[in-house]
Amino acid sequence: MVKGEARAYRVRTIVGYLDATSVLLRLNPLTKFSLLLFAALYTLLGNLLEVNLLVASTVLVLFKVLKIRLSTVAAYLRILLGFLLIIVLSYFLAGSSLGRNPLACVGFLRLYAENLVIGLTIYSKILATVLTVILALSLITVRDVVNGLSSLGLSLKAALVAGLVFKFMYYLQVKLEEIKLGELSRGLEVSRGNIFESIHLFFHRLLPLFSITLVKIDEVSDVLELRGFNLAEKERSSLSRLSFSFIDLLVLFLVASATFLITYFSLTGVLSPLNSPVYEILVSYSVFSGCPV
Amino acid sequence: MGVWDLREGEVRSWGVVHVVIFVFLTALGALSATLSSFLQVGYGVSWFYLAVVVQVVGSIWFGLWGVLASVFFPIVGDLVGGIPISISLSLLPANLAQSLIPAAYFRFLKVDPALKKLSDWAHFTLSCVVLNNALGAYLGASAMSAWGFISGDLYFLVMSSWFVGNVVPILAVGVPLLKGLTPVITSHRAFCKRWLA
Repeated sequence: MVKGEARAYRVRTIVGYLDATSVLLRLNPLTKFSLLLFAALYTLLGNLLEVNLLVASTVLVLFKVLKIRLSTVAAYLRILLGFLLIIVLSYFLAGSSLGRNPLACVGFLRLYAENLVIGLTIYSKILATVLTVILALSLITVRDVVNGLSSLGLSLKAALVAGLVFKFMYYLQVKLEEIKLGELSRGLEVSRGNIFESIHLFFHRLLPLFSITLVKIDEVSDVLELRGFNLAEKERSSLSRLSFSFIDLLVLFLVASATFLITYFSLTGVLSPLNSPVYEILVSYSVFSGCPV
Repeated sequence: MGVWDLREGEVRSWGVVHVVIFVFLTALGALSATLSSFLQVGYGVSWFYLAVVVQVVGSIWFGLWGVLASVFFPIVGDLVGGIPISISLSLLPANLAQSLIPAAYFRFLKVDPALKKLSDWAHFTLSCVVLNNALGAYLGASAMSAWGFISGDLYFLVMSSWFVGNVVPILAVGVPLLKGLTPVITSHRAFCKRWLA
């Protein structure tokens, strides 16, 4: 008898791979979409620093509990750092229109308590929403896109087109990697180039990508036509449909409750950046900062 | 006879190939948007936004399909980039302006996309470099300001970096693509002499 661990099958989702045995993979597409809707709403309403940090850390815990690889999140660090840069520039260094309580002053640069709290609130809101979106995308497969959109009332043909977009995005990603490997195999030292060489390189990558796209367009449209994909046809049958399970209902209940609470507290004015306890601490500090008001 | 003129008896109608064009342009644009993230300065603002090339070139070659893809791919690209759909939708007018202006300008004034004459270059500069990107940068920076992602002090800086981040790729990558691939594309069945076909 051979002892060993059976290799787990993984299913490709929009941003990575998920264990095929995961119960979350079997969630109804609409349940998975509800997380995306929650993230969209949270961008509008998540205006309290502490709540944003709570949401972000809850999502990170969910990543760990649900055994979704955290390396998926690491791929998004660049965009999160890019946004941190603009928030720092916008609110900490250049922002002056909001400020009343100065915390530190170096020459013409001043850091105000209001700017700091609002900047941190916006950044933490971005962090929470980005993490929620990544969590949702880690569960959504191309088939979920098709099934989910058609369940929402979109025609199956339109849903298929949307699903194909994600499918071909992955295809082009693979082709791009092949182009990069081709560059390396021909001795092109890509990583050592300066910014102008990198920009120049984009042209050499986009041109073959366009050419590959053109060839593939012919292939795909021929195949679709040969298989009778008729745009004028009214009804098409779906390959699979998923019903709602208990876990679906549980997840939907949690998302709906969180949405209700956040909407309620936002409308009653509780979720406001300047209601943060951090702000009150900073204001009391500003009295002793020594900066002229 | 120019590339936009119909031959005698030529009837053009849209079909499956145009839907596939839309799919691939959306995928290519979304991928280009993620490639541009190495010089990102915020949501959808990059110092070198490569995806604008797909918007300009795609809408000139493939008309309304290119415009639709240009509007749709930032939503897909943003979504894959972790950005919620509410923000992507607010940037929709900017993306529409960046693609619709070149598509309409080239079709109404019958400008040759292969940029053979000096006048073609002048029209290209006006429609694909200045007008569309200025309007796009204004609408984009306004949307970001409305979301509170930038304070009023940085409005002009973000608007100008949006503009420059679009102009550089169009000149560095878009122009060679138009000059090099237009003869191939115009002979392809997916090329749109009109808006849909």
